[in-house]
Amino acid sequence: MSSSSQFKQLEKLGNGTYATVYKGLNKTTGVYVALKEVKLDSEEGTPSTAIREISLMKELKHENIVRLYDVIHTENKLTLVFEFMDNDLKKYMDSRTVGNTPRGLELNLVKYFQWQLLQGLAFCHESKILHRDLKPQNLLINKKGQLKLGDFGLARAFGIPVNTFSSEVVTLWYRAPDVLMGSRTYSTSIDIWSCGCILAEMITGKPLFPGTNDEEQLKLIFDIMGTPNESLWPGVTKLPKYNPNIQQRTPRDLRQVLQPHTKEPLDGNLMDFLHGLLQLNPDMRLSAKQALHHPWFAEYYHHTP
Amino acid sequence: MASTFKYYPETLGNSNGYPINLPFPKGSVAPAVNIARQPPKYLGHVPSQSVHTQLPSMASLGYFNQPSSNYYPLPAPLQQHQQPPILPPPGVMYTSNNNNNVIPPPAQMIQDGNQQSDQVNGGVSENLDYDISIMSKFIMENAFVAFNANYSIDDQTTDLFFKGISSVLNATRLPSATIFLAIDYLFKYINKLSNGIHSIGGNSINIIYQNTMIAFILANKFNDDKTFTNSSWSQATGILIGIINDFERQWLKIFNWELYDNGFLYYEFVKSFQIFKQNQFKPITTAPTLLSPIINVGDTRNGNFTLKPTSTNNPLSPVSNYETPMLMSNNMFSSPSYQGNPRSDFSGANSYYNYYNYNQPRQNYYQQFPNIYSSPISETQFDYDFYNFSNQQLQQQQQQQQHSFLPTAPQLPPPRVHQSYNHHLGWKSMDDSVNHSRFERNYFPYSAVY
Repeated sequence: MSSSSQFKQLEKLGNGTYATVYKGLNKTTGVYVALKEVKLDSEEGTPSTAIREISLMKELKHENIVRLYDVIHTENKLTLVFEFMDNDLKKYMDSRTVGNTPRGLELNLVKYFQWQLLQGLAFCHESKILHRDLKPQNLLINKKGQLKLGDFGLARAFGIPVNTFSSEVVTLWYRAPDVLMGSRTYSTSIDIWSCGCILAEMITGKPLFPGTNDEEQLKLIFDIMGTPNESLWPGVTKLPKYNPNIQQRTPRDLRQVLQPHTKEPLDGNLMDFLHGLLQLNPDMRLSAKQALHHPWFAEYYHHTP
Repeated sequence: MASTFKYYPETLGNSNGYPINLPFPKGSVAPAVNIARQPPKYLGHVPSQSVHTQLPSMASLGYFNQPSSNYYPLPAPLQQHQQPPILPPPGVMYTSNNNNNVIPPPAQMIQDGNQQSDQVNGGVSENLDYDISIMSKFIMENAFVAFNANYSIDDQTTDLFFKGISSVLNATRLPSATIFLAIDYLFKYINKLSNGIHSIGGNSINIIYQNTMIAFILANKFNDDKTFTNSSWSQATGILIGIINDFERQWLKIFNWELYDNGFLYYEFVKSFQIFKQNQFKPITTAPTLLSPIINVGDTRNGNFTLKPTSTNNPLSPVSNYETPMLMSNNMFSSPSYQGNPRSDFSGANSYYNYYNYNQPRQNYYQQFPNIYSSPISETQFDYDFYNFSNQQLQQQQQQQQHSFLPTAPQLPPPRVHQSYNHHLGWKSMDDSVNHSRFERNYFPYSAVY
């Protein structure tokens, strides 16, 4: 257990959902860290976000998950000492915007990032943990091209049957249609939908479904993916917020939606893979493990056991 | 001792910081932890089903109540900073002294965050998957096992404990999974303490209550999407917020924040609760008495173990003779250490105890007298004392260790507001210098039981 005096606080890196993050220097080791500071409020007690994040991340030791080194709990402040990462995926993509035109990442980098994202996620899911807030801001990257999952403040364990899942999870743009329609029985597939949105965003440089409210979010999704029905998605009409009067849409060709925003040709493997992640029916989505075995990643197979 | 003060932030000074939450019977004096100094007094009659006897164990509760027809104090006036906006006025449940109390409709806590719109009625679960009364008993029994405490099920103190838990469940509507997780935490916590329950001040009913509530809080924060602030918890439990914050911090430290256990034996709890529930409704087929293991040791060794329905006057097992309501299956607390010798269909029902392995004395006991387990004991009987046989020794140790307890009352900074109350006096002996009525008013302005 370290003390706060062990770290020199450097510049502010950002404001998280419930905390402020600073760059820090471990004075004994000379290693940079990220210091996530949580102000403690005596009315609230220890925030549940911090309790979740700490207890879950202590379990998640994986090269594609940001490492939690230590926790410093003082009277009125809780400091989480994390592995330092140079950037997050959101800022990185923003930095590539030319003028007002967002630009996607090179497809080989997209693939490498997506691969790492799914590796980290597969580890979470194997550990019976849902992230529930996957988005570019929460994917941290460094100069070596490594990508790691961060911010587990919304994460939760799903090993125990749950009857109180909140549908107020995942930033709107990355939120799965089943969750948007009020499903509380979601599981790992909720994170997979986010992965699909992130993949499309890496390709084009702009968010795939940038809704401003739940209703618009669903509309944007259905405009591209088509309106779900009972034959494609048994049970969809029973979801709490299912709207039977919604305008029926047929699915658009996803390639035609994305291709105009990137110079590189989007091949069939990539499109098939993306469709596997962006299935409206949560049961039809690939699992993280399955996704890693998709032919789109074939070039990596001989690099990993 | 001074070093332990660091667990108690200044916030305590703002409160009436004193970790006693359960209301005291009217006419009782304040808790005297140092039971060595003051021999227990005759308590009068315990509720009707019980055998009349002395209750030395009450000493460990810190309750020296005089026989009185009015067991429950009137709710003390609320102090301003403790005004609960949502909960019913304290004392709503003090309508009678028996278990037939109608628990008032749940007054639910407002959740932390902005998810109230999901559920108008508040609380974590819209539909509870358990009966609050049965679940409260289940929690109580498990908490007593965790603390190696052998409070009689039907005495008034445990009744208050029971009502306190019911009230909290009513207010919070925690899902059963979260409750099971909390019980799991409770066992683990005690297991992690270097000196077991002695590290936290023993197993007085208040200590059990407080720690059970902290287990609820942490399980709720870890496991539920709807959580409550500690100040809401304070209102629901009657525990002062400073105490809650301190205990929470202490728990997290002891747990090293590792509240996630992928191997949590959820289904063992489900099974155990299922059996517990079934046994609630079974008719009593034999004299529902407790076994009195210590005095029966010789018998068991000879394979001649018998029930002693009314055995009394044994100073070693004074509280073991109470008739027990049919709360429990005999295997409810079955220890996993006798797996090779199953005594009923339900043996192993509580195999989660195996997981904790914290209670050496209990296990040793079983290992010592293995033929106990093969004795055919009616399922409706309650052999709770088997698992708490060492309580006497524990209490004696406690007496000796009163002054080295870690995070509980004795080390709390003296409360700021209490002119009339000498903190140390209160814990050493309740002599006449303590103004009882003021004590009640100051220290229990907010009861645990609504």
